Amino acid sequence: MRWSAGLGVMLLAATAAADPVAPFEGRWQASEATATVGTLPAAAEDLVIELRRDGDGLRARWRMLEGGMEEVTFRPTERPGVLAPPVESPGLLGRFFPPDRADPLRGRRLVWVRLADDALVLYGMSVARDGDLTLDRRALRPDDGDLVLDLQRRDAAGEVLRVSARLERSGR
Amino acid sequence: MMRVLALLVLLLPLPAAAAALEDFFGSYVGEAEVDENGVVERRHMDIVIAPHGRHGFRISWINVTLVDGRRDLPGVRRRVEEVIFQPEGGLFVAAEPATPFRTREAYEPLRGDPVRWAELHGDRLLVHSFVVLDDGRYELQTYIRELTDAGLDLVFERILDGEVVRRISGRTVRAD
Repeated sequence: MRWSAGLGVMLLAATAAADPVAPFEGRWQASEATATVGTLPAAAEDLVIELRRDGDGLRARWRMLEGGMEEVTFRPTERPGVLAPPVESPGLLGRFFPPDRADPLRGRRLVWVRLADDALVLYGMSVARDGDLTLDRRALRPDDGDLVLDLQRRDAAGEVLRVSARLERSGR
Repeated sequence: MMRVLALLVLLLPLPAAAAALEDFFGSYVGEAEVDENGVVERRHMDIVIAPHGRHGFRISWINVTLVDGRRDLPGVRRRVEEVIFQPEGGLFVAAEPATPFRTREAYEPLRGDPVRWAELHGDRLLVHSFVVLDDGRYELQTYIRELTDAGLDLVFERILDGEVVRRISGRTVRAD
């Protein structure tokens, strides 16, 4: 019995290692949140994130601090553990007609995901027309069936928001 | 009543005028303290901010990290850097070394190309350098140079994935 239980644990661990997305799949919502820097500009219940596998990638949908939902599909990149929105191939004429790349200095928001150390970290970075920086980092870690969220926002003045919250499964 | 209001408006202090880019042009020398994980070093700074092209500017600086507070001892380190910024869409963007084979459009921040820009905020000139590292973490470096009566005050922070790992604060004076 002990052998089979041990084997089960090993299999689970091996599965988790092989599939780092599995612990994060689902829709997650906070019931309470603690801000150690700044003030959360929304209710704790507004901290919602939904993560779904999408082929070899990941589809993420989350509520932004400014309100509204953002949804992005991420694909594996040449960098291990780093996922990013797919970039269209430049093709033969790419030298003359380059594809629309995520360039924050041209008003595009840069988003990417990092999967490492049992955590899923979702990043968002943008630069306003006047040069103001907004840099968000949402680190999620599995904890006893829930996810623990460490949310940080930085701007040019430094860290302006740091929130920790426990996210519980909300629906499938 | 209108006369009283007009008088009050006249008596109100004028808001301080924001600095123009030209106000930063000049040569500065000074000292700074570097704090990296609790290890503190002192350095000498030599900064030049100058116009570049029609509307751009150039910042070049030399840092000399001291040994036991001196610059005439073995182990002293000297570092020279220069960045050129050009106006683009309301902000200043670092001029990248474009080649016939690689234009600015080909730069990809998610493949590790640095994103560098500058902005003016009142009396402060902020310069940012942002890069997504190979493992997906980010590094952000921000220089804040603030005009003072004597010269420029400098604050620098290097942030690795959300945590400050290096902080520099220093003071300079204008040099003739």
